Amino acid sequence: MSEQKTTVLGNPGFAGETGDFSHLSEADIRGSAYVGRRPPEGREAGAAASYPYQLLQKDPAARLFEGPYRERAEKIKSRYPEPQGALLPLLNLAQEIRGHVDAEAMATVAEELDLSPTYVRGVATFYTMYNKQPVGDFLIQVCTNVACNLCGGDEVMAEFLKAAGTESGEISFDGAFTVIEAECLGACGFPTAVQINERYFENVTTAEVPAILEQLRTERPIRRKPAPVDVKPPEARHGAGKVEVPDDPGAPGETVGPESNPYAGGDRTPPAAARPPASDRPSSEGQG
Amino acid sequence: MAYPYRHERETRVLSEHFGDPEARTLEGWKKRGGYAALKTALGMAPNEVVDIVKNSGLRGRGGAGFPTGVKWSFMPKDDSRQSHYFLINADESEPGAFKDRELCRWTPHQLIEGAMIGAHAIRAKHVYIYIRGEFFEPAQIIGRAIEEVYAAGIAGPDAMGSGISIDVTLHLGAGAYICGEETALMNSLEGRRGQPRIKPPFPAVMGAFSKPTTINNVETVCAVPHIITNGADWYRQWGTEKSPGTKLFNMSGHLVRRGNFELPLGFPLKDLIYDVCGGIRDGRKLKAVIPGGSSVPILAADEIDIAMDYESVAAAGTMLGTASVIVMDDQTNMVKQVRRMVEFYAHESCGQCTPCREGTQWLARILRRIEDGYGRQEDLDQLLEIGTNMTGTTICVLSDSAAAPVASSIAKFKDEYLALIRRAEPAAAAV
Repeated sequence: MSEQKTTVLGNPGFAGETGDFSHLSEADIRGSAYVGRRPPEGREAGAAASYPYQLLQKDPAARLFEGPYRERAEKIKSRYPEPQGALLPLLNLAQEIRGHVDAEAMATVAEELDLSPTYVRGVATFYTMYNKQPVGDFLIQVCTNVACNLCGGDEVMAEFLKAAGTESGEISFDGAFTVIEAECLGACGFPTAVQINERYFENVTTAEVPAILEQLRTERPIRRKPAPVDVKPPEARHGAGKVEVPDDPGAPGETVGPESNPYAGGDRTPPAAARPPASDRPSSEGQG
Repeated sequence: MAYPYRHERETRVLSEHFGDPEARTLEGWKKRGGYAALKTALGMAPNEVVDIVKNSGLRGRGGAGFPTGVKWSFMPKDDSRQSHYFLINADESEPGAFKDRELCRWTPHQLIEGAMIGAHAIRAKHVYIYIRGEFFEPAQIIGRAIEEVYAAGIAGPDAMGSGISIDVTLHLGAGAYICGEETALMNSLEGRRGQPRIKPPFPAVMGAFSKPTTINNVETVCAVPHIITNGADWYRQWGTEKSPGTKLFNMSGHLVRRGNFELPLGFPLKDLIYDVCGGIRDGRKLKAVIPGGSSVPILAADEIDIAMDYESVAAAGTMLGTASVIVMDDQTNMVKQVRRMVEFYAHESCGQCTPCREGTQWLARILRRIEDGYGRQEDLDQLLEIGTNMTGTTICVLSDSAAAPVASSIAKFKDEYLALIRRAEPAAAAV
């Protein structure tokens, strides 16, 4: 599978859909089954329920911390001796739901943790990963810091802007891309490193930029559709490196409208059995 | 395995299982001898564990090189275990460093095992692994490994049947370089702005959530299980007297082979560049080397005949830091690269201390002016003066880090600056 991914872009270091995110459908992520199961009875959960997913299916008007998100928020809060410790993870959660963190979201988080909205705003604006305004479906962050810069980071950045037809920090006309410069992404041995939503693309050269954008354009409509409730058996879902294409995306009752909060119902959570066991999840072989 | 970076001169202790997906699972890790060291350590008194690590001479791999065992011994010897925290710093964001990401990606159980041993040694009940928010994939891998160790009863109220309670939590940052500083990391964990705190009080007295806290880098913690299993003397077979052990060297820039190479400390920098990494790309000549990440002074091409251990690098006027070696060839525009580094610090300055908040901005502006061809004769002196005022005058060392490459590049590559300034001021050049 790594070979296939490698040849897609002819890039030996292509990280693509690395790791263990690729086989998860949107429903997996939206639900609370995957994230932060509470291991031994009654203990504080140890694992994360706070990965900063950047999903394509976002709703800037959605209400925060309802349904499965309520569950996740409570799990997160249970792990800190003081409630304020949950501030960063809850902001992440808000961003996952809405795609960005605006003043209203900050106020909601503040209320959740009994802090003042001004204080939360002061914290949220300190960190660069909270988008203070909406971004495109794919947030493309090109590392132009010294190690990547030596190997052409600036040129890759310019190429992304050109290919996406946008200015730095703006949303492209079709709503698909926002391209920004990033500070060191911690992949200096694989220049140029590019982070697109949660994915890392490594050893990116200017020549590969159009192909990457093309791949993202192909993924876009697929990833935007809500995943079906009846997920395939675990074996069939091991399409590692590929995006899950729902068999019947338009199943009745599954349409997501602005008036129905798609995250509210716990019934959208896939059964735990649908998740492949941990040991045989696809992994990213050493293409990094 | 087909992991791309392998060299015959490497000594692979921490990186032995890089590229092996099976080693990332609990089963696979146990098959490779994993969690035996934790079992051993949990059977010991905390002080015994501290002594072994102290004797091994392991030094912090996050940049400062402080002896780990000594750091652990600062913690109060309070057996109630109610209120100590052990933090793992996986907020790797030093430009040039990319070792922790690989350790997290490939050996999550090595990290958790080391973290739990450390927690036992300092009598902590709770481990927080603070990983930077951009490391989504490593975070997922660690998160899954944590679920595995909970399910297997390795972590939790009765760690490996020892009756000792150790919890492990993963915490994601949200994009701020300064959170790699230990007290800033604690503030960030508590849900505050990541601004460094004034020391004292030191973390061992009052750290995260106002409780005694110890914080270690990922690479430091990953070495601990091996030391517990094989003993302090075994670890001392590598490296020098004062800098024992192996180290991941993060090689980036204009090299034929880039990547992480694990080698004994004290390995010659020249061999590292020309043998292990295959020399400079496209047959070019070496111009400059940054030996420890972008915060340390730059070395010119004729200064690379040094050994890569903490003392030798310091003797050469720079720092080993995270051993993140950035190599630049003779085509490099030094002014541009220094400007890019300084812009990074200007962006990441937390804004608490005036010399840093103002100084980084002015350095970046003046360097940009020189690069764009509008430099003035007095600019170099001005840069040096700003840099002097930024050094040693702030709470943390970010300010010093921003000034270091400027001062060292002006000292060693002054001609390049002058050439740009002369072009801007033809009249001045004639004088």
